[in-house]
Amino acid sequence: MWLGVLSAARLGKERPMTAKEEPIFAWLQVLDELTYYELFGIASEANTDEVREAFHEFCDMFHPDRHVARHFEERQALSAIFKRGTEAYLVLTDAGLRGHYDTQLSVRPDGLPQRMSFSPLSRPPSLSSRLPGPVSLEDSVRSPSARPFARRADELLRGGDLQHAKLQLVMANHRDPGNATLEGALRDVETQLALPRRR
Amino acid sequence: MAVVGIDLGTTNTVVAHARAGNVRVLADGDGRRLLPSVVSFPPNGEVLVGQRAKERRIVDAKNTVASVKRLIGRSWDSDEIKRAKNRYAFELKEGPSHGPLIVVRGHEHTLSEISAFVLERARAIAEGRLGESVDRAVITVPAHFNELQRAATKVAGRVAGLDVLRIINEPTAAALAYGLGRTEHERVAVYDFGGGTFDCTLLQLSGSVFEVLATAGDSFLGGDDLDTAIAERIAEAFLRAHRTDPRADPQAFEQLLVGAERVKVELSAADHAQLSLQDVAFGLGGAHLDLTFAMTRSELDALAAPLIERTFAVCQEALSIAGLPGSAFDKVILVGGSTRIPLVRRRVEQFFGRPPLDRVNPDEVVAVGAAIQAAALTEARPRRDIPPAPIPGARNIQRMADAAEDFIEDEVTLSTDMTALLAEREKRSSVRPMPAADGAPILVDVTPRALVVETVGGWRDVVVQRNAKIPCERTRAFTTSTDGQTVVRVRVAQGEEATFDKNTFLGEVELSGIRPARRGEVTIQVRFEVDESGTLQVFATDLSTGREAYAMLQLVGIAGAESVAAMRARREAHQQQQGIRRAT
Repeated sequence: MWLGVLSAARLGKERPMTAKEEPIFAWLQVLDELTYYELFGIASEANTDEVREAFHEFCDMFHPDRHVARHFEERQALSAIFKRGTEAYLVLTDAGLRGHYDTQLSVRPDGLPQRMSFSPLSRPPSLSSRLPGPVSLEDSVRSPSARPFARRADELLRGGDLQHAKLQLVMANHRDPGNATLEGALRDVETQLALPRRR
Repeated sequence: MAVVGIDLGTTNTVVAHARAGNVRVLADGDGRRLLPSVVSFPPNGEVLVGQRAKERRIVDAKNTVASVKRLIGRSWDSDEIKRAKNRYAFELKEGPSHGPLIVVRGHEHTLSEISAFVLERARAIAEGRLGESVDRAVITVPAHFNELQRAATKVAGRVAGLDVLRIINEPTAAALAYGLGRTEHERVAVYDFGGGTFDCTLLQLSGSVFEVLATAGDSFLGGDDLDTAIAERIAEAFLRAHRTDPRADPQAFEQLLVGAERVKVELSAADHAQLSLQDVAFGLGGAHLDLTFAMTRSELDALAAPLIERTFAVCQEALSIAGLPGSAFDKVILVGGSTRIPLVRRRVEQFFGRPPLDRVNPDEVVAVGAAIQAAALTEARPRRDIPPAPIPGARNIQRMADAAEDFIEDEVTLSTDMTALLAEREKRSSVRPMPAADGAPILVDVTPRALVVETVGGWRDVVVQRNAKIPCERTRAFTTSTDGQTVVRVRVAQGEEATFDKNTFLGEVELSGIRPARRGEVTIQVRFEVDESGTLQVFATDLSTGREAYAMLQLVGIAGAESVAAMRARREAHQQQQGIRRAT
């Protein structure tokens, strides 16, 4: 899902009268169907220098500052197109991301771009990608004897000390069995510890 | 209605204006082009800004605020604020949402309000020179400024009654002032040695894109340190001559500092400088004690050398971040008054292996670039036509430029030879040529630091990476972390550290009304949008319900629109009460 683009597409439908003559909206409408290569008008084997050069042409054409005198709707559309360009530039100049993107393109059965399903920066939500809950571990505790351990675990987690936080969480879980929050936190910490240390 | 470029500096502020191909640095009624960034509050309720405020630093240090740029946008707990509490005579206290406040004569001021006094004065100077009202501005900040510092600077502009068109990086502005960024690929090093701070910024310019490769700085290293070293030398000479130490009396030492600065400036042009000081102190029986002090340039160089070497340690740091040698840079630009010292120039040339550019006055180069950008953003230019959209999946790929070729009727005139233009400028000292607005490069700016979200366990997840070209938009999916969770808080920070808390906390977005479910079942989409002026908006959407609920990020310690209006109202009421008239 690509919310920004969805709203941009909707914006395209509510476009002003000039729509037919104004190619900006034609760009906007096909934006989701264009590959990054098509967006820049380059071959899929273009090297980094060629990508950069194409991006600069793209900037010169679409950067909002080049169009200060235009209508608000047109500027909004240009902004959506330009943002896609910065995303394309990022992916195409990063060997890892580009390789991943090319693979995605090659596995398309019908040969049509499927950019909508491809988000270069997201990986499947993992335990480590979870948002902090509104409550601290300490607040989730139901048994008074588990509280000091949960509180200490909160502090250690904030300080990034996973090893010691794990110990505290084991104790907290022991004193407050069946607490989903504490169990989840322990699993998260174990997963984190199993991962190669992040920099 | 005019638009200006303002270099809001730690020590001095400069305002410039560009129109129809000419850039002018605007001077006040006394012909001064540098406005000291100092605000003083004398007992009569007036607010003094600039030179008159600077003079009060000696007699009324407690109610005279200087160097506010070092503190703006910092939180109360930051190291800079802690250090400032010892270093400065004015009183600081904690305000709402961890923002520091300055207390003078019983009145509290936010740091943005203090900067607004300076900006207001700069605006008045510009209005006096231009003879028309000034309502919009491009303001510059150091490349290392984070989102909060930029936002606080923007608030200062708004409180001063200016519509801040854009906040741009000082080194980028300096590069613009030299008309760089037209050739294909160019690497530019900007060596910025000012009164109180030193910064080295490395830029990659290619066509229209200005990208910051690396930036490093020392916020307590500048020309003031050299003044102090010279003043110490004068004090020693005085002590030898009269057996009285002028350092014991702050006012006498301040007099030595003023003299020291004069010696320093003279030695940038001459090999010898002589200073006559009168009535520095009083000896036995009230005898007036005078001193004649002489210094040669080689003596000055010996004093300056250790300070100058420190700047190259910083440059080295920037180079290692960029992973490039000093010789990889095609242009070196000098910014800041301290770069007038001949030894600095020689060492810069040695370090980077090429003579630095110095055609534009180093005190004014940043403001000149800001004015060029301000004009480029406002002056009418040919409307750029967009070529027809490509057909998705079509195999016949045509270069965009080729497609556009037959399409553009009014070809944009590109720059003429900048060297010739700049040479001509030297004949007319205050008027500088600039590239025509339609030929000005497009600044594709970048985010100075990564933008991150806090995840379980105190880690962070990068949503927008450092140096991302803006405007941009990035989306990331997250899940809830507890059973039956109905509220999520998306905490946002800026920085490169792996642990969330080690980064600069920006603020948070709260999304409520989530369908209660088991942990991990609800997916929350977080979308970061950075617009062309670098303003960040964060949206959180509950994908499970398909509800497009979103919330906007409230930056910590940064005034919202309402408090800006309140600050402005307070300012205007105060001005009426005081009957302060704008200087012309």
